[in-house]
Amino acid sequence: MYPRKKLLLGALRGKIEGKGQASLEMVVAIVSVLLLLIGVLRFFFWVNKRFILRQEAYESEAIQAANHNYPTNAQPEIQVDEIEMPPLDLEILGRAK
Amino acid sequence: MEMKQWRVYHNKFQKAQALIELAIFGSIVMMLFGVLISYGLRYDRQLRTIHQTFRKALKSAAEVNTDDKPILVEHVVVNDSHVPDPTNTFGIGSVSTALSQASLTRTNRLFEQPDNDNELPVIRIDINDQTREYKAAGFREVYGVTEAQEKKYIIVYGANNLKEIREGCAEYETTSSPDYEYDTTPVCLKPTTDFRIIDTTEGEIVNYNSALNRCKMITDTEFCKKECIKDCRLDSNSVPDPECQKNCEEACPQEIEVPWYCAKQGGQFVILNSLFPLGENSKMGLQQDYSQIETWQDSTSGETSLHKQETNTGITTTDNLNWNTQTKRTIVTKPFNAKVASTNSEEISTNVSQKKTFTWSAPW
Repeated sequence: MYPRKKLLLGALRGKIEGKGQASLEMVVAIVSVLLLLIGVLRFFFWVNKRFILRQEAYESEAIQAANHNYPTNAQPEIQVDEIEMPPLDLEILGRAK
Repeated sequence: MEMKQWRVYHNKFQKAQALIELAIFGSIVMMLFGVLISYGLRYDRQLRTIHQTFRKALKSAAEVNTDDKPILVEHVVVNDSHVPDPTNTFGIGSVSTALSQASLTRTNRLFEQPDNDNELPVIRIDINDQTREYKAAGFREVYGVTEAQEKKYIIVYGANNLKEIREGCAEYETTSSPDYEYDTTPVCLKPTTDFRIIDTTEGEIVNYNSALNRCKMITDTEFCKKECIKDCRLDSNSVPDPECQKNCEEACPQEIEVPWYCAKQGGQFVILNSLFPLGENSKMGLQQDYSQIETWQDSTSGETSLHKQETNTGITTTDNLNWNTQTKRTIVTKPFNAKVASTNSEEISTNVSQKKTFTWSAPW
């Protein structure tokens, strides 16, 4: 008859040694999958934001662009300015320089 | 015994099961990421090209007000852009093309006619911001056109493409002597007109089907009637308008001048066949097919490589990218103002390249 405390420790050790592998792998897998998913989501939001900003900028200048007095020959046509559009931010995966 | 063996194998498989699943599902997620990047960026570039093209067309439509500017500009814009792909080595991906076409005419300028070569309609092709311009039509003059013939010219070329340059007379009244007291001009029995035709087949970029259709209408009376009566219907099921049908039946049998490109030999339009060797599969202007040459490394200016460094503070990854994609396209044109049965092919080569070093550092 083993003391109750020893039995409990033995069972716990068995649990850690025999079945902990799956949990460890799960932790690694979840972290990796989350990183990928966050990357996918950030890219998805970035692309969609570009569509919205592009359309907004395009529509806001439509009347000026369609005015038959503007653009004169010397001026280029009015185009959407992409400089103010936000860059893709994937900082969760490290920072690019 | 069997049960034991199964347990051994089962345990072997069970080790690293989560990592195997990660390997499988991870690669699927990577593939989906690649698809999303590709779709997202391509759509973004396509939208940018569509917007750019329409704004160019808006400017060209405004320029119609100015003399010596084309009355109509068809814009073709081609933009090559880099689309990264995470499933690709180094994530470089490929160079994809966004293409858009636009032309615009203001309502008050719908019936504008070009007065000189500079005002002829043009096709402006922008390939990665390099602009080329080609005439979409040319002038041709016809003389001594009778009233009956004029109707056929209108059917074949359209009233808006005919410009009256002078009036004449094929036959004067001889039976009665002119009344010299009031008018010295004899009465004209057969008035004629000289026209300048704005002919799309005289341009540098010609459409095969419209050229063939025009040649058949000029040379084949029945085809002319059939095509003309088609336009007399309000819709495909309605009865043709009797006045319009009568006009078609009277005008189409008229003989009119056959243009040089409609020359026939053995029942074939030989010049058209020579300009378009593959018939309706031949296309002038920017050709749909193109070739791409990818160069990944240049020994003189560094190679495409990836360096990873682990220190006690974190991991630093350095991507050294050095690649170039050359795209070769062809524009086929017909020489302007030349009655020749041959075409010119111009090869246009453009490059998209990347020479950059990215450093990623992730702290522990």
